[in-house]
Amino acid sequence: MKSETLRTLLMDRAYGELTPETEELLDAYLRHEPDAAREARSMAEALLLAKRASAVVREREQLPAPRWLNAAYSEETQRRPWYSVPWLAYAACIAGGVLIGSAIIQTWQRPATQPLQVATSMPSQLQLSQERGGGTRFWSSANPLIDERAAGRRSLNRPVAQTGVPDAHEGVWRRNR
Amino acid sequence: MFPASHELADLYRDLGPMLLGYFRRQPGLGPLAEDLLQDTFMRAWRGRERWPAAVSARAWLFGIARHVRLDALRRLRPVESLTCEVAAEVLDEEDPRLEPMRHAIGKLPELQREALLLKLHHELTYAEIAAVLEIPVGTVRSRLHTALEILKGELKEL
Repeated sequence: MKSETLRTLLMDRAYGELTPETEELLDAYLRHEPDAAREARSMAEALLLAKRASAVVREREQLPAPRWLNAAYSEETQRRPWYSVPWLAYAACIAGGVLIGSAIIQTWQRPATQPLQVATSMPSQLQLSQERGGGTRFWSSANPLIDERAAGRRSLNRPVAQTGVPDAHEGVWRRNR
Repeated sequence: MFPASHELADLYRDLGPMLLGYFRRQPGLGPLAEDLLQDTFMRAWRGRERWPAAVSARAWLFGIARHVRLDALRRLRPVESLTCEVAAEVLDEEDPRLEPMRHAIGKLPELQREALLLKLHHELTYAEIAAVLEIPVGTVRSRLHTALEILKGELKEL
């Protein structure tokens, strides 16, 4: 084995980064190589000493109360939509159920309404227009105003279709000329 | 799936002591350790969507803790020095080699010392340290190997 490769393997072993299989093979190798085994021991010792030298805290650290948790809860409740807060969602469901239920009950209990009154006589204006022989619509020829304009234009030989919207004043002006 | 607050609270219980130790071990940050721990978990809560993508929960939290530590050091920079030595508050002072070793650790470059302490005291894997320090795994290995060479050399002199 190359010395550089062995060195890398020994360091990884000291840091506990070798897989169990590799470590087993390396241990078997070290049993036959006292120099390499000594090197491995010195590495492990240096790391152990470094660990003890840099130890600042005791084994079991007293953990302070998790103040961050209160802040996290308050942030979460501020950010969450109202329906994700369980008691609000339950309250909303109950209120909705009560409203729907009362609406259904009111519908069932409402008294039967009077039937619609059907008109038995015809309005007088409707009768009048029908007597003139025209329809009942606004633009029908039975409208007396439109009949008058149409008559004026016909006298000037200008069909209504060419002039567009009928204009009583224009018809009068043309007649006077 | 993001971790819920109770899952993060479990992590606080399990990894809180390690993180507290991490902050206590930082030069100049010992008195602030508890506040920095709270800050770490608050940041973890706010960035909890990144948890599933992390190498491990431990690496994720140590990564956040490292940023908290760097921010705190940045605030303290005018009065504290980054090159100050590892704080000396050990229980076992019987071994005379401890003090020279402490000096040796203090003299290590910051990047090597950071990786070494993560390995020694928090038992993070190379991959986890790489995630915490945001560097390739090969770089972590190289830094740790160099640190070990230095410490081993220091031990030979004693």
